[in-house]
Amino acid sequence: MNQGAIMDSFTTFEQITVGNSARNLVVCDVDLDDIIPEYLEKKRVECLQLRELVNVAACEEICGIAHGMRGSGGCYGFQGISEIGASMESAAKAADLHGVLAQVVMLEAYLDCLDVCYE
Amino acid sequence: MIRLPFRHTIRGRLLLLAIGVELLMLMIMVSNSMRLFHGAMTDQTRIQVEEYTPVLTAALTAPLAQRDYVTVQAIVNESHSSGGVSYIVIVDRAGKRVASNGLAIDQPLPEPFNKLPLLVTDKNMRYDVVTPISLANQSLGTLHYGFDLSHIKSARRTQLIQGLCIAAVEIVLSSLVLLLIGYWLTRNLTSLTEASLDVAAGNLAPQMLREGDDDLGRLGAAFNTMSRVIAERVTELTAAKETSEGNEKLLRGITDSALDAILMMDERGAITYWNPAAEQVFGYSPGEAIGKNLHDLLVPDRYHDDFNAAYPDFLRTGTGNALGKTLERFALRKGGKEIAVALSLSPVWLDGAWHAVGVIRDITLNKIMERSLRKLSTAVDSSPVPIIITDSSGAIEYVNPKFSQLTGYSPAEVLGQNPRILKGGVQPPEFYQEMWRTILSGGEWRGEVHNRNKDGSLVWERISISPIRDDSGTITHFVRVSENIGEQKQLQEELTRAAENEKLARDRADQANKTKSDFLASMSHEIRTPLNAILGMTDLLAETALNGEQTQYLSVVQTAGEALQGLINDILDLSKIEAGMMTLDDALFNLPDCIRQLSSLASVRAAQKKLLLTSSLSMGVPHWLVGDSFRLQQVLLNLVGNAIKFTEQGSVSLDVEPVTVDTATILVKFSITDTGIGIQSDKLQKIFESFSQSDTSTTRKYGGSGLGLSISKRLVEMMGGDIGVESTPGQGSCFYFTCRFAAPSETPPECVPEEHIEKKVFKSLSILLVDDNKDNRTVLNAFFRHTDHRVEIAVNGEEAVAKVKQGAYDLVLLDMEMPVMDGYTAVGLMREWESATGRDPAPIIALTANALKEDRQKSLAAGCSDHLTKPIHKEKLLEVVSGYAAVTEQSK
Repeated sequence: MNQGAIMDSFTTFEQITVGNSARNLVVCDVDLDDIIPEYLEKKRVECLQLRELVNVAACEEICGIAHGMRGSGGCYGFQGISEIGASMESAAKAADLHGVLAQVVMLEAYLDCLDVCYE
Repeated sequence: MIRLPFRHTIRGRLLLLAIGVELLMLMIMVSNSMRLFHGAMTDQTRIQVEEYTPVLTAALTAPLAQRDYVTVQAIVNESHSSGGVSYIVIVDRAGKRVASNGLAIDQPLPEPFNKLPLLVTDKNMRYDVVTPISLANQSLGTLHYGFDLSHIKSARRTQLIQGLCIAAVEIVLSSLVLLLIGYWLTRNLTSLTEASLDVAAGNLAPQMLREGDDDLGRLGAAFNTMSRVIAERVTELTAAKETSEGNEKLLRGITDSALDAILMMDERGAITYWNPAAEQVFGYSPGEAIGKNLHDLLVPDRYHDDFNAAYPDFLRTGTGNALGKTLERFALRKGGKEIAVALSLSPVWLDGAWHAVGVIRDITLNKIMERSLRKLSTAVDSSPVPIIITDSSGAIEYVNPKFSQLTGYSPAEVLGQNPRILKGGVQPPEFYQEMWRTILSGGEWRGEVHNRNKDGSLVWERISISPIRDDSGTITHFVRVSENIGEQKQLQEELTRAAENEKLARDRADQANKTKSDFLASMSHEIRTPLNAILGMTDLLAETALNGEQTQYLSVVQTAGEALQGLINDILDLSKIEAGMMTLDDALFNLPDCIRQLSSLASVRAAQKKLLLTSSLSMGVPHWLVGDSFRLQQVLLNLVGNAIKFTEQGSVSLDVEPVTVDTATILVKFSITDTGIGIQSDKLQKIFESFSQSDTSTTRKYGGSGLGLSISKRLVEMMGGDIGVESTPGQGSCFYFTCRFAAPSETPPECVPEEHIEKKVFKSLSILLVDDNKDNRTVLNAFFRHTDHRVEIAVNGEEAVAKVKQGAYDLVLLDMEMPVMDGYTAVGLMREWESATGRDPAPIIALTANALKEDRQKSLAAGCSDHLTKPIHKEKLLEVVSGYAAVTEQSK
C-alpha cells in the first residue's frame, strides 16, 4: 500500500475530525480512579505502537491490540474506546490499513478531548 | 310420376308416340280376335247341346217308362263317363231323383240358364240343361245335366296369351327400329345442343358443327358463325370490363386512402359519395351520410343563404364563386360541433346534370397551432428577457426587442452573426467548449455568463440554451434565453458574506457554549468534590453533641449544602445534555412503583406545607414499561417539587394517563396540577429556558437555579415527548409532559407476595479471573475491591486449568479468546477434570467480545455456565456473581 497516500488521507481526516471534536466528559466509577490514568496513558502509547504497526502492515498485531481495546474500554467506562477498538479490529481483519489509521486518529482525538470525572 | 329420360327429346317423343299407336292397334286386333273366337265357340257348343239332348232323352225314355231304373242309372253313368258332361240327374214325374251321377244326393239341382255362359268373368264354366222326358205326350220325368265348358275357357286363355306375346314382340321390334331412325335424325341436333351448352357454360370455342347443304348442315354453319361472333364480342366486353374495373379500383383506392374527406353531391343536393376520410372528419358513416342533404347535414346555418342564392346558377351552368378554389370555412361534425375545414369544390357533369365534388380537410388543429404560434410569437416578441434564435451553426436568425433594448444591438446588426459577439472575455475557452458540447449532444445548457453589451459594459447573465429538433430529430436551431442577474449576483455576494458572518458568529456561539459546558462540568466537578466532604462532615457533625444554636447553624449549613449539591447536579446534567453525553437507559420498570416512590419522596415536603398530595394512574396505562425510570423520576420530582414549592395552600396532584398504546410503544401523559401562585402568560414560554424563572422576585422568594425545567424539557424530548404548561396567576398551574416508552418484549415478572420471598444471604466467593489482557484483568479485579470476594488471576487457559486443579474456586471468569490455550479448550479440560475427580462442576462464566446469540450458545455448549459480553460493566458483573454467591437461609 502507498504509505504516502495513507498519510495524505489521514491528514485530511484528522483535520476534519479533530476540528469538529468537542470535549468528552466521561463519568467513571470512583472505585477505578487509581487505575484509569494508567489505562489512558497506555492507550496513548498504543496509539504510537499502532502507527508503527500500520507502517509495517502488521495486521495481526494490530488486531490483537484493537481486540483488547474493544473488550476493555467499556469496562473502564470508556465506551468510545470499545467502539473505536471494534472498528479498528474489523479494519485490521480486512487488512484495511487506511481504516486502521482512521481509527487510530479517532482514538487520539478521543483521548485528547477526554475529561474524566468519578462518581 | 315416372320420368322418362327421353321424354324431352324429339327422338323420345317420337318413340313414345309410335309405341302408343302400336299398342292401341294391337289391343284392337287382340280384342277383335277374342270376340270372333268367342262367337264361334258359343255357336259350336249350342249345336253340340242341341244334338246331344235328344239322343240322351231317347235313350232314357224306354227304361224310364218301364221304371227300369237300373238301366236308367247305367245310361246316366255311361253318359257321364263318356266326357263332356259334368253331372246328370233323372227326376221322375213325382219329382224324385231316380238316377244321378256327378252331383251329390243332398246337393240341390242347379238352375238352368237361358244362354251359354261364355264370358271370361264367368266362374261356373258349365251349361245347365233341363229337358222333359215324355212318351206319347205323357211325362215320364225330367232330365237335368250340366254341359262342361272348361275346355272353351282354356282355349280362350291360350289364344289371349299368344296374342299378347305377339303384340309385345312387335312393340319391341318397332321400338328398336324407331330408335335407330330417331338417332339418325337427331344426332346433329344433339351436337348443336352440346355446343350451345358449352357456349352457355363459357366455352367460347365449342366443337365445330358439321356444315353442309342440307337443313342440318346449314344449321351447323349458322351456329358456327354465331359462336365465333359471340366469342369475339365476349372478348371485347371482358377487356372493356377489366379496364373499367381497374379504373374504378384505382379511383376507389385513391379516394379511400385520401386523408382528406371526398364527397359528391348530386343535382338535388343529396350526398352520393362519401369516402372513409369523410367519416373520420365528420363522424358520419357512409350509411348515415349517403342520401342526406349535404347542406342540412354538414353546413352551419349561417352559410345556407349564400348557398341557396348560388345553387340555381350552379345547376344551370356548373359555375360558382366557391368552385375551383380552396376556401377556409366551418363545417358541422356529427353531434353539432363546428370544425374548421379547408374546402375545395369542383363541378362534375354526370348523367345530364351538374354534380359537385368536394375535397375537405380538417384544419382545426392547424388553426389551434396557428393561434398558439401567434401567442408564442407575441410572447417571444414581448418577453421581458432577451431571446435569441440561431440556426444549427450558431448564426443568429432572430432576436426579440428586449434583446435589442438591453444589449444595444439592433436586429439588423446581429442577424447572421454568431452570439460570440456578446462574449465578455471573462470565461475561459473551455467554458464555451463545454457549452457547445452540451447543446450539440442534444442537452440543455444552463450557466452564468459574463457578457458584453454594444457599449462595452459587462453584464452577468444567466443563460439557458436549448436545441430545437425537426421531425427526424435533427437539431435545426438553438434558442438562447438570458436573464440579467447582475442584481442577484450582488445580492448573492452580500448573502454569502452575511452567511459567513453568521457562521462565524454561530461558531463563536457554539464555541462559547461548549466552553461554558466545559467550564460548568469542570467547575461542577471541582465544586462537588469539596461539597461532598462538607455535607459528609456535616452529617458526622450532626451526630455529635451540639447545643441548640449549633444545631440550628448546622441545619442551615446542611440545607445550603444540599441546595448547592442540587444546583451542581443540575449543572452537571445540563452540561451532559448539551455536550451530547447524556444517554438514557432502556430497562424494564414498574410505573406504579415509580409513582409510589416519587409520592413517598415528595410527601415529606408536602406534609411540611400541609398540602394535599395525590397521585392517580388511569386505567389503560401499562404497569410495566421499558425506559429510563431514573430520568422519568427526575422530571417528575422536579415538577412535583416545583408545584409544592410554589403552592402555599391547597393541593398538588399527579395524574398519569395513556395517550397511545400499541404493541411496540406506549405514549404516556403525566400532569402535575397545583393550586399555587401560577405564572403570568407572558412568562410561560420562557420558563423552560435555562436559568429562567417567571421573575426575579420569585427567585428571591423561592430560590432555585432555574435549571430544573430546562433539564426536564431536554430529558422529556430525549424520551420522545413534549412538555408544556397551562397556568392562571393566583389560581395555579398544570405542567404536563408526555414520554414514549417501549413495550416489554418479555413477560414482566409477576408480583410475588412478600411472605413467599425467600430471604437470601450472600457468601464470599473465591474467584479465578482468567484473561490475557492486562487492562481487563486490572479493571475486573478492581470491580471486586469493595466486595467480600477473593480474586486470583490467570493469564491464559493453560494456567487457569492448572490453578483450578490446585485450588478450589467457587467461580471462574474465563476469557474465551486467549493465546496459548483459549477458553473453549480450557473449560473442556476443567469439566473433564471435575468429572474424573467426582467434583461438582464449578460455575464458569464466559467473557467474550462477541455478542451474537451463536457465540453465547458456543460458550454454553463448551461447558460454561453463563456468558457475559465485553465490555463488562461493573453492575452487571456483580449482579451475575451475586447470583452465584446468594444462598437461601435454608440452604445456608
